[in-house]
Amino acid sequence: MSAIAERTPAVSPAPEPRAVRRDRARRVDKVMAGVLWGLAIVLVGLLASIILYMLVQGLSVLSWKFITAADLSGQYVGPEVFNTFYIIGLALVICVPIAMGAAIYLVEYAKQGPFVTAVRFATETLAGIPSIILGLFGFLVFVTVFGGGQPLCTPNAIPWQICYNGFGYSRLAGSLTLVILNLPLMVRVSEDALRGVPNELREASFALGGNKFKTVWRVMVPTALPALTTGVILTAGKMMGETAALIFTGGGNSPINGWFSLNPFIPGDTLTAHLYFLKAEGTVANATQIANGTATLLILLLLLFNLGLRYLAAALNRRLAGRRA
Amino acid sequence: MRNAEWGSRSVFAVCAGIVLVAISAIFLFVGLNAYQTFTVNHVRPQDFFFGTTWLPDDGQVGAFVLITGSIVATVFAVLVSTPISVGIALFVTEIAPVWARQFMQPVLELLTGIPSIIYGLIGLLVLVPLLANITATLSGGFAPGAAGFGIIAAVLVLTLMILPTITTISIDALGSLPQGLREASLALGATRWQTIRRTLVPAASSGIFTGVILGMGRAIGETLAVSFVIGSNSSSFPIRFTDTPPYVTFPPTSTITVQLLFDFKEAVAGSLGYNAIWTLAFILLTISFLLVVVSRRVAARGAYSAQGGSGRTGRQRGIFSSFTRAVAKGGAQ
Repeated sequence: MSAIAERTPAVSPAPEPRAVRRDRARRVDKVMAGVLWGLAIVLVGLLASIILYMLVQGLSVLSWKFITAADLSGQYVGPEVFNTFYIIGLALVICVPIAMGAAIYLVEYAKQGPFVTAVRFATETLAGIPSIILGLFGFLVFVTVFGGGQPLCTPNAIPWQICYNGFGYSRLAGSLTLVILNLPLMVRVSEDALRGVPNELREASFALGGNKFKTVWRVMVPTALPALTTGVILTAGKMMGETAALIFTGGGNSPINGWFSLNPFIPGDTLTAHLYFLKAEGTVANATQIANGTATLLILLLLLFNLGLRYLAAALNRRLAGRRA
Repeated sequence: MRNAEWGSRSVFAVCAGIVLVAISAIFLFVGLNAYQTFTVNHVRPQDFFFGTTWLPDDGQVGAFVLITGSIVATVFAVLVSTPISVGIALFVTEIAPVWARQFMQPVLELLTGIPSIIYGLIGLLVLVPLLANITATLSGGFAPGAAGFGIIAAVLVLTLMILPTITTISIDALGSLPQGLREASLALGATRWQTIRRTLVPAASSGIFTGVILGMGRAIGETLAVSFVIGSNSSSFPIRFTDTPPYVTFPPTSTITVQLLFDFKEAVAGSLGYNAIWTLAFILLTISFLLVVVSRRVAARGAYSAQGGSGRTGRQRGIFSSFTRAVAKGGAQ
């Protein structure tokens, strides 16, 4: 504060008339406000043109058949749509309980100490790790070490190596990698949701004789549910856009007999991974068209997730917490 | 009853511990593999870090070009993006009327949410041809086949990608300044812009700087968007100076992440190429770790933090801020 206060009365050697300086300051103020408006308008225009461009590119390709059908020549993205939701769903089923548990521990049980500091630092570090590295890590751990039929499973293998006919490139390996990638976000989101519960509710529960677990389970989690739900959808949206972590773990196309099956041990590419394989390998006929269609579909899903999230947050809040949004 | 309490407590503690296990495992696994380049393949560290030829199949793993590419792309993206991002943050917190402020929030969220592969696709379909045209115009109608691919396209794509990160964190930093600062400055007769320049930006500088560092982290780890537009030439520096016109060229080049993406599938487990990729990955891991550490330090130094209290640093606030605000509006109070 003091530093700012000292700097403000800038005394120039030959002071101009006050009115001149004031007028100039006002002009600069107007110009800069205009510049900032301009920046914002350009940004909005850029976003609008990106979305419009992607929509225009692929809208002609999109059809109900394109989104749901599957064939050997790869002209439709039905399996990819299925895989996307399947892998996200599986990842959420694993990620949400762990993140909730961690958040409950951090909010309700933990006292400041080395363990809490370490967990927080680990969460931040994990959030900062590039997803391609998590992709490589997922490949090493989930595809190779836990994977079946890999050459590493030899008699003189390293002791901790589990040799069974396990997953390899698979939906499960992809899901688990997504779990690690999104744990920090999910922990954060759950923590915020739990911290948002009014303290009076906790105190009331304790006053009625509830123990800690009952308070958490019967009072805190239900009250935090609207915020948690929006958090889960936000995380799902992040998972949907992820590519680099899935290329080395989820593998390419699902086998024919597994297109719409629930088997987690078969390979499966999501829409984003599919887009990458189309661009990088491009062995499919009409690869450009299909890529455009896939990209358009992704943009539509993104809009759905983001705009739906706002509506849902408000609706859930009214229904579950009885508050007006 | 006491036992049940203890049981639930330890279940929750284990959940928290999983994060610790995950991060340790990542450093351990990547580190162990990275180490083998130097122990099993006997590559000299100076050859790895300062060699300029990346041909793992021929036994040459000099990563200097790749490291340079990553750093140049990141630094320039941050340099271009920071002023724009801070400008937009100032627009949102200081200039915009309420409707415009409410409009900007979903705009920033959508920009964050667009998958990086879509940014790459746009770069490939729109930006690269545009840059190629500009090159052709500047050089009088002639442009090499790979014109447009290179560091400029990568920097432009990255600039847009890290913009929402820096902007949201700057908005948080500016929004958490006490209203009294503004009032005091205006009461002294300062205009809105003088208040911004002399009072608000300096006061929020540590928060803004946190955003810049997190933006760096995002830029250096970005893979797919960059891979589509950089041209992936692992033997050419991102900027080349020549004695004849045009004196400076930006040939197709490569970065750490792009090389990881393209080389990993072909590498045979245990070969030099495979181990060298893990070494590259470990370098990237170390850089992103250091950025996290720096951002924590910077955030801790700020005079006005967005959410006081223990254990909440700018980094956590930053990455998840747009969400936190969305929840604050719609979710639990």
